[in-house]
Amino acid sequence: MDEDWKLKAQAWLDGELPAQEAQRVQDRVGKDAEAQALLKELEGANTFLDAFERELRVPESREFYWSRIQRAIHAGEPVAPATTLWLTRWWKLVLPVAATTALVLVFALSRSGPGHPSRPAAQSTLAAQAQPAQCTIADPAALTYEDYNAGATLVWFSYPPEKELAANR
Amino acid sequence: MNGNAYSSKDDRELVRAAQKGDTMAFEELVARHRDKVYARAYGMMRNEDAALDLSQEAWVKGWQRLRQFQGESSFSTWITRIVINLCLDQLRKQKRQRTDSLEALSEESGGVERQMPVVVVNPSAGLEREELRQRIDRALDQLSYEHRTALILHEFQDMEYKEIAKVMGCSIGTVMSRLFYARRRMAALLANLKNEDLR
Repeated sequence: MDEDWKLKAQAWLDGELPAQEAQRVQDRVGKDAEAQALLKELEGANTFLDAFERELRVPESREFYWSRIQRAIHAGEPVAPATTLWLTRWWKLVLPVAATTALVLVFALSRSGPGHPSRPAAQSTLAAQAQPAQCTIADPAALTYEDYNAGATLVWFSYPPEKELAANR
Repeated sequence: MNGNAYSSKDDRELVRAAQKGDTMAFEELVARHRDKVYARAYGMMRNEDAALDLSQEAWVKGWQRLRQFQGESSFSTWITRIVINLCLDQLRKQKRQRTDSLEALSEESGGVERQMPVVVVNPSAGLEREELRQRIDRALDQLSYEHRTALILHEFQDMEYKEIAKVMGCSIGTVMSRLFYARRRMAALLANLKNEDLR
């Protein structure tokens, strides 16, 4: 057997030859006792390997082996489950809209509150009406709205802050 | 869900649960496939500590990439691919620090294995399982990294020649030659060991 033929016989054994060539090799192997012995030897190596791998076991208990994996998982970046990620994105979209709506609502309520001139019962003075409403942003994650006429203070917290959300992504 | 509930689920159900962040489901997957992942790492690294480290690293990577697993292959195949890639990376690093083995030189200089007489082997003849494992272990130890890796990728990972060539960064012809050498050398080594025992 020449060297190329040996490698070709191996390729046939491994199913790596195109159909037409595989048929030619198969025919030749059928007539060649030496090639048959060679292929048997090559297959034998596979059998040994299968037997070898089946016998190998992790030399640690289930708990001990897992504990190291578990520690590494917890120490590393957590794998965000798909549902959590979806909720985070959803919340990020809704948050600004909700904040704006809340501010508009507070403003509208303050205009129809007891200090407003449109209400007959409310005998508020011009001076009282002149007291300013204040909107402060002391913390990037918190918005404070104060309406002195209505005597109302609204603090809107947005946690986790946008920056953190962006950083965690 | 208690431990029994997990053990009664199949791999696909466990993967789905783990993809939602259920570490207990993942732990069950680890318990089921840890021997195979470890065996694959050991087969390539030939070192218990390295095999343990790399197999555990593979599980951590598996957890981190779990959402990428879409079920195109079985979970077992997917996780063993991860450990094989880790082993290959590690072996490449080691290889850079050492000269080529004698076996590799032999291969490049013409392949003496092709002139070896055919050896007929019988894996089950008179060998206890543990004894057989030890003998195969010793025989694998005598293969170079290139030959052992080609053999393991082909036999255990069912990789085609072209895939092995890509992974190992060599030609398909070299893969064929390495595979041929590795198989024949294994047969010869195991046949010799058997004869020694019979004496």
